[in-house]
Amino acid sequence: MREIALYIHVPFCIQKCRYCDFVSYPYHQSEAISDYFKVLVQEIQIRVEKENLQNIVLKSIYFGGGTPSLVPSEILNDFISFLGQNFRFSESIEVSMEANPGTLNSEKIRELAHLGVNRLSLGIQSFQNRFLFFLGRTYQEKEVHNLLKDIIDTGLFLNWSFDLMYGLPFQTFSDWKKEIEYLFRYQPPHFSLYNLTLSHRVPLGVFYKNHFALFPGQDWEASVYRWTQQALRKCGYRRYEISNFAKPGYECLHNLTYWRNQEYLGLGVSSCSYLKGIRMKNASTLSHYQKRIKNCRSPVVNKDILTLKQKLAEEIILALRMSEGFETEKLFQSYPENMVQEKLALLENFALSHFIQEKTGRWILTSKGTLIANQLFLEILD
Amino acid sequence: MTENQSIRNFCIIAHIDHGKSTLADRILDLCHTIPKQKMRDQVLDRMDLERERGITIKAKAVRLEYFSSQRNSSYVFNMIDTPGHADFSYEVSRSLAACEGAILVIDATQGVEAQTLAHTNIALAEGLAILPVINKIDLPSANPDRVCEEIENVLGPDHLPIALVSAKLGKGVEELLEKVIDFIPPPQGQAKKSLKALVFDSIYDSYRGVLPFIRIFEGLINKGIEIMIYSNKQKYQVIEIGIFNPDMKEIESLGPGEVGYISCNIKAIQDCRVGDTITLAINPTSQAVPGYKKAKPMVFCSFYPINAEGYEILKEALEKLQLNDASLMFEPDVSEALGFGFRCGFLGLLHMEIIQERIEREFDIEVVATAPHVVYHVLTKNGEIIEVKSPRDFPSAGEIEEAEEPIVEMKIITPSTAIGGVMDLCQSKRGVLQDMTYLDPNTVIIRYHLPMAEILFDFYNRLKSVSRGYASMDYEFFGYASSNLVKVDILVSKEKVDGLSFISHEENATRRSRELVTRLRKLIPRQMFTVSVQAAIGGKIIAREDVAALRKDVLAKCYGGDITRKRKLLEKQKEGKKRMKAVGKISLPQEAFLAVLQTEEQ
Repeated sequence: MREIALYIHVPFCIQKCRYCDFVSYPYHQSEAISDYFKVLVQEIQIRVEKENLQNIVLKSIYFGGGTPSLVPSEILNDFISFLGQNFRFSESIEVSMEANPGTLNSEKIRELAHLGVNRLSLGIQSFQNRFLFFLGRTYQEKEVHNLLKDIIDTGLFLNWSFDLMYGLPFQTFSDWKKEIEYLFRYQPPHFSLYNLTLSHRVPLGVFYKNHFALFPGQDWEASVYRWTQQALRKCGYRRYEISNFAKPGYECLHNLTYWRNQEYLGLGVSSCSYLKGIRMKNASTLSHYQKRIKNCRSPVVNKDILTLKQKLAEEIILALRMSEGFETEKLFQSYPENMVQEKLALLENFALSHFIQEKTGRWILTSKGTLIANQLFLEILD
Repeated sequence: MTENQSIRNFCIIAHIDHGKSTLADRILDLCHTIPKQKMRDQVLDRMDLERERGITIKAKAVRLEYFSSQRNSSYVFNMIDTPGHADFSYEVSRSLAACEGAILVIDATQGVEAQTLAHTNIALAEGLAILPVINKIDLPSANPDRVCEEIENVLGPDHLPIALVSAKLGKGVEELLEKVIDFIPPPQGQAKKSLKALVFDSIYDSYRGVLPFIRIFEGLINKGIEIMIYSNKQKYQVIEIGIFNPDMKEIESLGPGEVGYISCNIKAIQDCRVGDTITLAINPTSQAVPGYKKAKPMVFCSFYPINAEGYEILKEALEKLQLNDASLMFEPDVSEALGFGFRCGFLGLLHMEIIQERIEREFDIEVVATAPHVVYHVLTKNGEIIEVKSPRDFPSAGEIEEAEEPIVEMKIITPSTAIGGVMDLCQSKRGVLQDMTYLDPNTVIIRYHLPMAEILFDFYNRLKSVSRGYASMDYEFFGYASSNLVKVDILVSKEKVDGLSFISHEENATRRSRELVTRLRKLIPRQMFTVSVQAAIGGKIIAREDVAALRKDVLAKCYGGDITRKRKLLEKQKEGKKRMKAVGKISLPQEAFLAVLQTEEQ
């Protein structure tokens, strides 16, 4: 049976954060959400037919956004039931939902658990008001603590995660240490460590351009990353991907699908899919997306049929993001020998400078290599 | 055609900011040349650049009709407004050749300044009648008596000021024009002789081709007549004749002493150069008008188009500007970092800056300009003499018998209170004092010999700062002198990078090397390894900086599985890396090459 991961993009937020470069719209009325979910249902019908997705087993479902925790439980209920009618669910299915402080209370937590959501990913970003304010988040420290308390007190979610962000203007090492102390206090089974990355299209990107001296810079970031990694390791966390840490067994199955270069279907505006070696992207504005679905057309507007060489390069790059790396033997099974040899020659060169190492048939980035991974990836790309 | 006796041809010369163009405005007013509603300040400065900067770059000719009520008769004045800045003195000298006299404007508050002297000397050499005029007498700080004394000291008792004016208020201008009639001789020349006209300027018009601006010395020029360019014997039919009123105005003919333009379908810019003589095709004159001595470019720099496609446009731009500015020289050049471009020669830094700006404005292309530099002469041990225009061509130390650099004679006029500062500055620039003369108890002329390379960067600004803005300077090429020159090579990760070498006097080599490697350290992007940047003379390292290894360059997680976007970001980064020049394992951005080529920051 063909197993895939499913991603659903929910493009609504209370307000758009100042660093956010994802497709999202300020949310005013619940009709917008119920309309959107009706269109999602239609998309499933269209995609199942066009992409031949009958007899599919879902190994994970991921509601990303936006702020999926804004979606009323009845709508979610109908939607998940509809998924059940169209796909089989794997027995160990992971159903994740992203949520922001201020959009969840203990009642909503219970409802989500009841609906079958079994993993929560909380976009906390910081425990300190001045950073929350700077980023344009809509909640305050107090709400962060309330949310975490509710999750722990209800006891319904064993698998949950939160994100913290470093590299913010005026952020000092002791500011960051404070964030990590909170992390240790709440002990989420999974943790994502994000470096603030700004596109020039977002308001903070413009701020960065004019005030880059206020940001701590790459040397500080490199040191903070190293320190955090060591602190987390001492506390029982394992770094399983460049920006993701988990206690054993709590790795995010859904995200592993991306890095292991396995198949996934993305639903909703601007979502991406990877099916049968083809990378696809849906229309990236809400109106364009809805228009295509209403005209019974596939929302996919970009298709990238990867050549074998591209596929190999992507597979290596994605795998190297993970601490499990990749097995040489596996590559030889799927790709022509000379193609693999060519890439291995590159890697051997990096190994001379200790950016990467080979251990029992597996290639893995060293911690030195992890920090400058882009430079290595550039060379691996064709 | 006007009778010789009622024509006066003169130009207005002055140090920059002494009020030439304002005086020209008032003279235009008095002659009712421009209707009141169209009059504006500095009306003859037509280029946007001139108006923005408040300086005259191009000399402009204008024909004026003046009615003298004292004499109850009309006169025709051909007046040429000239630039004041030293870099444009070539433009001035061409204007002078078309005139019999010059109004020398001197600021009543500033007195004699460096260009006052320079322009006066050129005018005297041309044998012109000089009419010194003291301007700005309306200002509270005006001191006409002191200025008179200075003028007498400089020009001698034969050239006492003949008028005190305030161009701003229009005071004394009419009296001045009466003096012009008295003191400037009418042009000589006979209508019945064969045509002899000097091309003193020209412009390019996309419809009519090259339009030479001429001053007639002998003979007549009529519409329809066939003329010949003296130097290349090319013949053309005259289609249009006109005068400057101040806009071009067509008339039937021009006679001896008159100034105007002709249109005769000259297509190629090279076919009619400024300084050439125009005569008749049948029965030509036997002797050309003495042309100009060829302008000698002193300062060189190269222009490269930002995009390779800009090369042809740049070439065309330089050709057209050269037509209008005979002192501009250029030849093709190629740089390993910047591609194909042109090495250009200029009279000075302002000239260079103005040309770059005109290229960008008038031809709409962006250019990269390298730092200004001079030409060195090297005698090798093989007995060869090399003109070194680029560090590339500089022989290695072992092959050099003797190296020479250009020296200028610098005249600085300064308040005596600033003598100490001025001399310290000149000494620090390797100057050799020649002499010092007092113009009056408070003003002194200091003469120095200075290496030209030393005045290219910040000399003028520092002179202004040590003299609180009062000193003025003028220089001319003096000659070549033996000098202890070295070539400094830059090594990046121990590999020599040709495009980064430079030539320096040995004394300055260490300081300049330190500055450059520091700048390079900031410009070279951090790479996967520590990169050393070293400056070396021969095998000896004289400066070193390290570019720390890149510590962090990694993308955040793949949100929502958008792998394609991540790949595109990586591809873009890779593209950027490809555009850099690879030196061994290191990628150097274009800015690094510009750091050595462009003006030093202070």
